Amino acid sequence: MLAGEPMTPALELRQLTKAFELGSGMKPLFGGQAKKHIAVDGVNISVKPQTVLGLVGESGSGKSTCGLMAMRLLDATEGQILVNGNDITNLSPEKLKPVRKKMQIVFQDSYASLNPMMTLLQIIAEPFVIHNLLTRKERVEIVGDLLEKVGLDRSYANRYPHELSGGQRQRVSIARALALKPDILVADEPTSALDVSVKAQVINLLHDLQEEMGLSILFISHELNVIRSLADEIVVMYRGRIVEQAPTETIFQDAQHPYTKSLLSAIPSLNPRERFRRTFMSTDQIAAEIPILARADITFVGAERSGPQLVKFSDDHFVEATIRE
Amino acid sequence: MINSNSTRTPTAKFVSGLETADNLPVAQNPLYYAWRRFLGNRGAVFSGSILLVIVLMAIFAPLITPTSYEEQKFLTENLSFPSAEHWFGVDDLGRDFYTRIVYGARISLSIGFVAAAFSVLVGLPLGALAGYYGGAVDWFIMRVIEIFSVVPPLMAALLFAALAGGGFVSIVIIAALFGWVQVCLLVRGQVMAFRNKEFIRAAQALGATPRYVIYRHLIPNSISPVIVGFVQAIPLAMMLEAGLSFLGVGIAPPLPSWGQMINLGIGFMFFYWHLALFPTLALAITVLSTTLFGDGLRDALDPTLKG
Amino acid sequence: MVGYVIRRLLSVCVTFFVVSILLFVMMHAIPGGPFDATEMPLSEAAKATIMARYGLDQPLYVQYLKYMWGVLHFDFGIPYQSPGETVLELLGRAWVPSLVLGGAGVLIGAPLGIALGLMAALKRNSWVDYLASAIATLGLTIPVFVTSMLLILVFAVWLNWLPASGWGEPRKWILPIIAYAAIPLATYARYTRSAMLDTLNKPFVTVLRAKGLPERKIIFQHVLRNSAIPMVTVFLPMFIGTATGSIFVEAMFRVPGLGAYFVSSIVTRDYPLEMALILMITVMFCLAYFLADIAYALLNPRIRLGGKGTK
Repeated sequence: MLAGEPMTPALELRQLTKAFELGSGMKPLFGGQAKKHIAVDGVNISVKPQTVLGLVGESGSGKSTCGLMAMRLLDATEGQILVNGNDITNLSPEKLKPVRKKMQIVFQDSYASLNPMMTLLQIIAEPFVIHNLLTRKERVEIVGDLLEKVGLDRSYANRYPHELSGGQRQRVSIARALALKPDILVADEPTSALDVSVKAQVINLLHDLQEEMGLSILFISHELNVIRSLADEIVVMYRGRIVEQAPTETIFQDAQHPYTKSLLSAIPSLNPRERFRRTFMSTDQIAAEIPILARADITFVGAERSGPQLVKFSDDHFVEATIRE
Repeated sequence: MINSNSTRTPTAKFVSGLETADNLPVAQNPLYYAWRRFLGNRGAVFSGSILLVIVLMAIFAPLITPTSYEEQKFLTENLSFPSAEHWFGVDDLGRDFYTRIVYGARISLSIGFVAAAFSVLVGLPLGALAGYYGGAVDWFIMRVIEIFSVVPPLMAALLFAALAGGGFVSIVIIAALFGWVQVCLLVRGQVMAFRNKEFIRAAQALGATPRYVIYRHLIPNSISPVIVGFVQAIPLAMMLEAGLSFLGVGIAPPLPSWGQMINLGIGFMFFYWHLALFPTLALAITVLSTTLFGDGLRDALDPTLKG
Repeated sequence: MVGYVIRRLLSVCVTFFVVSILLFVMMHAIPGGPFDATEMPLSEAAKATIMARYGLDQPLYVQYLKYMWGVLHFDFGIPYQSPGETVLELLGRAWVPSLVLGGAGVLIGAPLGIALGLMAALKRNSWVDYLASAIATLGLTIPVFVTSMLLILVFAVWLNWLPASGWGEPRKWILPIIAYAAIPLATYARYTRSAMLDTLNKPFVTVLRAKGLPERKIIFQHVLRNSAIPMVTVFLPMFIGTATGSIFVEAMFRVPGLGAYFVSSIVTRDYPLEMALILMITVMFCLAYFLADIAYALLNPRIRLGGKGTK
């Protein structure tokens, strides 16, 4: 990794926050405050150009919400989203449209990602249709190329989604996402619904495509072993906050936060000696075992707050910790 | 990270090669399977055929009836029972009853289809908008639907009919006014179910406008409820027309309407019961076959649309 | 929960008022008043007096407000066609036949329907099942006045067993009650059958059987209870709908009930009666749906305990 030279991140999320209001919305009418569920709480993520950043956490940690907000498919309550240094947080749909060509998303549910009434040709060509590019003939040609690129024969173009397997459908989603040659790809648990062997195929595909096209990928998943093979850097989220962030191998070898350690222990392993190390921790246990670091050893990220907060304690390694003097 | 593999664990590569689609069976649109399912439902197919026969009879009415429906040609044989010459007998004004029944089919069916078409015309966009935008738009449309639901439809229809004075056009409008609600609810339900599906989000991620999403994705995927709603609105409209004509505020004579004929028939029923029987049977069979056909369609297209 | 009830109540009230305004306006838009020159020739002065007496000479919104004020005090005015009594009294009289016949229809039809549905579900795919399903389908799809007509033709005209019309003696009630019972019977038969089949297939029933619980107990104590919720909530609107009398049934059988009076009020442009009838029935439906919603919320533990939107 190139040290020193600060690069504009391909995708950056600054202090991103999302609060969902609960209840039926009537309370404010009567002067009360609606109950809120804070799904994402002041998250800072930055994906360096042409790298893969793995966003890890369990269901409910807020990681998918981050992905949706990054794509502006969900409005952020607070915070900013920057693409190649440009703030797109509040852009109107018209201004946003050209930007959308540069960032695309692949979802977890491969069946729901494809319109069941459209052929693969129509599905993959949709980006061109929406942005009014290319003639019909050109589209057919390019769709064929894209299919081949993701490992499917051109003859699939006239098929319907229900005729494909999960892995194949996921490749189609990827093909559609790559149609406009984006710089950034947000992958929201793309392999979580696939069998192990198919997972490997899709991951390899993503790896090859990333190298070939120089993509910057935000890879969201709850499967650490998957992330390990693809990501350069890992961010761990827990209950809406980032609790640890470091390059991939550092996480696997030197995790500091109790939650990260708990996740690592849960990775299935074929080594019989490693099998029973699974530890499960409750919220209180996690809170109790947060690392305590000396003020002298760390650098603050952003303004100092009271209580546990994300701090940098070594090269590229951030963790949520309590400060002692 | 184009060059460095050192921080990643290498995974075994699967060399699967390019898979061809040529050995898969021929591709088919989901609607094709629905058609196959429908064909397997014997009751529905039977009803559909009966409906088809009735429709054909209505269309070719002049060709299969001996006289016109208003000619009072047979006054000397007034009120006679069915015979070889007059299959359904003669009515009180000397008209061939069979002819009147067949032309009555024209009236009923045309009102049914046109009113159903209008119901879809109103219900589809409202349902799509309510389903897509949710929030205030949905709330408002649901309130309107609520208003239409609490007023007893027949009474209101009667009121409207008296206001408008009866006649083909007003009956169609009234029937459409009470039919759109069902279509709207069906479409709204379908749109809401699809609204958060990932392929919609994918289109939005590509920069699609709401209009594009509604036209290109939501409405085509709502074809099932639209078809079902349309076909279910037809018998409702027919019954409404028959009812209003029965009460005297629908289709006026000499135009033949089964409801109107039933009303007349009651006066004669103790002796000349054929005047009451045939329109009743005609109405019953038509409504029954249309309803069963509609149910069959619904089951074939999407059983989850029940209710 | 309380919030839910209040919100529904407000919603219902608003709906009711909007409907009342619409109806009022529409009714007065019908060309020709009750004292039209063509129907009852009157001198100008006489007409003016009558109009003033019934308050018809005032601007529409004033009439509306006066009327609604009266309604809130249960004063619906005086019917034009029968000035000797108030609308309320007339309706009270008129409601009896509708209530008796319609109510009996529902109270007889519903249990029969449930029984039919039960039998059909238990002897699935046997001739009992097919017969019950056929009856249910017919009951729902054949319009009520066709059913009435057929009943009259068969039993009154051809077989001459029962009288075709009138209201006086119980013998005359039989056919109308059968006509009224068709829809509740069909609805409950169909519903019971499908709900029972659904529940009978659920794993917990298999568990109960494995435990050795006698079949009858399983059905009555467990399965039926699970299916009960929608059956209960649909009962109230259905009862209201039927007990207020079907216009068709009353017309066919010459029963002097609410439906019949409504038709005559339209024909004679009897505003007070028309308005009162529609409003009353609308209110009853509003109430019925409201109560059904509440009942459903109460019975469905998810709504009662959970509240909406807990993530």
